[in-house]
Amino acid sequence: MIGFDKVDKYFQSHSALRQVDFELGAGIVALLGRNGAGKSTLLSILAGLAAESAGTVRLDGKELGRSRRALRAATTLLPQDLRVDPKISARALVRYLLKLRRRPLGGLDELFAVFGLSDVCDRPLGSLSGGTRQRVGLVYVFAADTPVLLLDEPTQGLDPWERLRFTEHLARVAAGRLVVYSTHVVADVEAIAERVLVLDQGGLVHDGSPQDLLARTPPVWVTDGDQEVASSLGSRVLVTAVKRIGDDSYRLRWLGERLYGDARPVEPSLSDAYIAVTGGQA
Amino acid sequence: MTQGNLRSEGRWVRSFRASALALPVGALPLAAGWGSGSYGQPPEGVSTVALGVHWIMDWLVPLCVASVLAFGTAGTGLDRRVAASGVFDLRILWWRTHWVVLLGSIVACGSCAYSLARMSGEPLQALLAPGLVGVLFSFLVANVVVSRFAASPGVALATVASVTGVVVIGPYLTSFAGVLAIDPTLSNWMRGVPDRGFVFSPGSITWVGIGVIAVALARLFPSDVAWLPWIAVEGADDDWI
Repeated sequence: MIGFDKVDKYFQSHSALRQVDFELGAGIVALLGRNGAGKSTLLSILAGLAAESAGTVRLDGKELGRSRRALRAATTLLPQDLRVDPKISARALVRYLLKLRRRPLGGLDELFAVFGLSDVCDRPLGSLSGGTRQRVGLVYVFAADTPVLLLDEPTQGLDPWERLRFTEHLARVAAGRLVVYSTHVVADVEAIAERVLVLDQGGLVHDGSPQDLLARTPPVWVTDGDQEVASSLGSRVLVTAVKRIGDDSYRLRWLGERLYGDARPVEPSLSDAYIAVTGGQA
Repeated sequence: MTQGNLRSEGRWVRSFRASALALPVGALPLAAGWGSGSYGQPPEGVSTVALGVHWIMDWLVPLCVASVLAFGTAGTGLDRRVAASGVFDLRILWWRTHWVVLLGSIVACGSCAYSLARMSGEPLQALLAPGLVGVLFSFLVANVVVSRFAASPGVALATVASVTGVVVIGPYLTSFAGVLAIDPTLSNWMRGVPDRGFVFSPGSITWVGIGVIAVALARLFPSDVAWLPWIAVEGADDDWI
């Protein structure tokens, strides 16, 4: 569907993407990376809103030239911070966006119901909470019904019930289309993603299934210790979790060497794997 | 509430920035001064009031329109990342979404010309034609600056007002550039010649032509919004790029 060949993107002297290569077909793809890793830039290029500085972008096998109209027509992007007119209603906004893109207006009521917005979709957007406005954006994306959906942190601001509703609907509509979504919530990735792309400092450091990512993870160890152990561990290894289990007692989880005799090995989680490939630098 | 807060809350005011309408208030003392004939030394046979109303229509009105349009329309509109995926090009959308302001500017220019013509005794067309050409030129400059370069309101205001100002004032103040003046009558008077010129001058055609070419070039080069630098930068709020 969409292919990248050695794509670079520069903003003046700053390199936002470096030699990014992939071929995306139908399916759900999670895009992981820390702030500044280049996720939003990558989504902008996929959405036809930005052009690569070097390399090639292909749509359905055809190399794209200067015009990105075909890419924009095939994709729908939900930006991370969708800016809307606070005075208009959710229904008016979604209808306006769909008209702007000449997409059909049918099925909106069903989508408002799916995302629990039936009661509020005629209220001004400015009176709705951030999470509710985020769901309005999701209604727009799913109503646009394009072959490619690009979601920039779609679960940001959603409560656990809303996230569940989103992942259920996403799994239902994903058949036959490409869905790329960036997220910091690793639990979402475990739930629905068939493929994971991990960006770090503009480079693609992982492209494969969640299982592939887990397989790359170094040994993971767990031990219990006090504050002193917890503070010293961070400077020696890559700590992936610290959980307080009592007064001055912590359960510590790290990657790499077995530093303490009482440490026990555990199965790596996707969160461990993500931290391992992104290097764990602050 | 600051614009930053609005952004972080995912809310964004789409409409024209109404505070821009306050900008022409700053020009009122000039208009009052010139309207009462307290500016310049006209050639023999031309009243100071006639000279003053030509100044108002030839550059004060276009400059006010340029300021209002640039400051009022910069940075407004639907989220660009979403709007850019629409069927209509963003640079066409600027005309579509601000047509009320554009029409209002033309009506204001016409009203101003009518009232000044009644007050001064100058022929209506002698004031209306250069005024409308100047206003049209300011539309074209504002379109390029706001929708092609996506300047911030302050930068847009400064740029559009400067470019419009150079075009609508410069030729009257420089002896060698008289042919580029939008109002040949005022150009003659500024050189001490009491004759009137034809209402549509080579200068009018030249500047409107240059403006239209600039708008067309802004539309064609880059030929696609993906090549504009600002969308991706704007879309990367989460990233530090």
